[in-house]
Amino acid sequence: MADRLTPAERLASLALPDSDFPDAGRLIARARAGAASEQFREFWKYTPTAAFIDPLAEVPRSAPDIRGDGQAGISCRTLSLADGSLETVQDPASVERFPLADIALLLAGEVLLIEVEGSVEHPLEIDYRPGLSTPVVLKVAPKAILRLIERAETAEFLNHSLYVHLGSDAHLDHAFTGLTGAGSHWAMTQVAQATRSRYRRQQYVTGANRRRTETQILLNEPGAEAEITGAFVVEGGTHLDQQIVLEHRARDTRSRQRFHGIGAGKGTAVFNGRIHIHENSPGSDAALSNRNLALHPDSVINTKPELEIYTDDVRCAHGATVGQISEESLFYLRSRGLSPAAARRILCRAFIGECIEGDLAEAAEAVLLGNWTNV
Amino acid sequence: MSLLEVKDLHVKVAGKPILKGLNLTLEAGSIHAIMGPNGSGKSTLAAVIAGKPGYEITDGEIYYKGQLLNDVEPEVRAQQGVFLAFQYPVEIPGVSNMEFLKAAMDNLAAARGEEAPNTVEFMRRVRAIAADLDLNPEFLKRGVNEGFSGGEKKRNEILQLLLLDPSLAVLDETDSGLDIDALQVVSNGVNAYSDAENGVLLITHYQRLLEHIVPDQVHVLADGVIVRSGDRGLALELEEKGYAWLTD
Repeated sequence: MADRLTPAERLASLALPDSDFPDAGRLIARARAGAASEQFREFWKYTPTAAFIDPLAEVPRSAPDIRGDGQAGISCRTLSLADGSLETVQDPASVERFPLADIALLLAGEVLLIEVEGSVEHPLEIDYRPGLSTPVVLKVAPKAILRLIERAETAEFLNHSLYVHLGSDAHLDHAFTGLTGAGSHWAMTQVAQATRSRYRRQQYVTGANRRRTETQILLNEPGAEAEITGAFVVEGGTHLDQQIVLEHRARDTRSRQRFHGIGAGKGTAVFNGRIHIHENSPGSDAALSNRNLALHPDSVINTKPELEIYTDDVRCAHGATVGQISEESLFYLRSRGLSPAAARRILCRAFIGECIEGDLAEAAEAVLLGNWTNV
Repeated sequence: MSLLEVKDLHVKVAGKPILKGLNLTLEAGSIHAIMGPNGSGKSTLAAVIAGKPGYEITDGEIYYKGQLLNDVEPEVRAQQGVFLAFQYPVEIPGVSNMEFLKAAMDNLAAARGEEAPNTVEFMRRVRAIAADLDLNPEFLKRGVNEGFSGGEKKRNEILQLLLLDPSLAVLDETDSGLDIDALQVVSNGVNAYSDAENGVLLITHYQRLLEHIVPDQVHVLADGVIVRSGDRGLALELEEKGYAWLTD
């Protein structure tokens, strides 16, 4: 019976507490409308919502472990939603896509506000604990430079959201991992970028019981740039769903997305990369590539690049492939004495390795380049 | 016992007969050249000796050091000392040349029950060969054949030949795409490799390679069979007259 509920019905049946902050009613209404929308159904086509929605009202609240926040240039405090308007947290663009984030804000009633100025020497590190994690708002001042490391390594239920505001000419390097193959993990990142700001993201994930990452990047002002690289592996009956939306909302904005994935065993990987170039955004330059190897008869990979373009004079390239290891490459390595298994491992490592770099490369390699049983 | 003996070999590729009763014997210490027009089956012969999947032997045998090779897996052939220098070496981005060469050496050593060479010694050896072949040592850090020019790819094949030191080297059009200088470098490499213990099967379109690597025998392959064998003079004659007088 419970399985047949729609996401909107699931949200409606959550026992939500009375919230006294001014935006509570707005959040509930928006979450319910969002979950009932046609767009939401498409957006969640391959991933059942039950594991992410049903426990929301009952799971413990948790605060993330934060390191590096004592450095010069970083200040950190809790901001009650009763004190501030919602707009200091979220960029209002397309937030109706994220009912789960709205519910998280409503239940938490507060956010962790981290403000960054100047060039910060060491990375800021966020490690999530199980439960409904207090949403984090990261405001990076104009011209500030920061490295952010975000780890979501729990084998239980985890809902976390991160709202990033990049000031003009600010620069953020962001590495994110979800490499634990268990639990129900839902992660949301919204990045709102001002003039000439640069955002680089490396995302390394495996499947879990259910894992879904939703990333929305808003290139709001001229010259803003975002570059996203990701590597992922599913096996062992796990499920992974990655959603990325790039909103080019101003002239001369630039985005790059490159993801390599492997279905190394039974499991499902979903990848949806959307590029939306708004009106009056000439000179936008966007590229998206998602390449996958399906190496096992029971690995399922659904990949969909989406383009929506409303301005002339833009450059936009996209490609998505699901294939096998090249027979030519395999024979080349075998002709040098490598067993088929050794050759396949080398080729898989190379394929995934092409998309691994940055602060969490070592941790990512340890898991994603492991000795897969089925390869 | 011959190093390589091919008897009445019939091979189909994608259901189409390509080799149609080919006979060839190569002794250790000798260099044989295979020449012939496009589509005569030269590259098929190279591929089938190396064990490439998709090449179906419908009749005949290939013996290597007296052992029947027909159904032996390609990696086992390599481990036993059969080497193919590819006409089109494959690019493998993300695997460095050094990593690839080390993996090949380690796997060969393990298969032969030998100890893998230590890394320092191995790297010294690779660098020395690269220098002999006029290859910039930086190329060792790059992905296997990734972004290499045609000439660099061919030199990389010869580097592997010299490093892995097989007993039988089949060179599939290694001279194609090489300028005169590169041809000389590659030929020097093959001549350095060739000794009384091993054999070389050179597949080529052009007589000019044979000015640098002097074959003991030249065979002309046409429509899947060897139609003429002779000494180096046959190659000169082919250059002058073309293939038509042999195949018409």
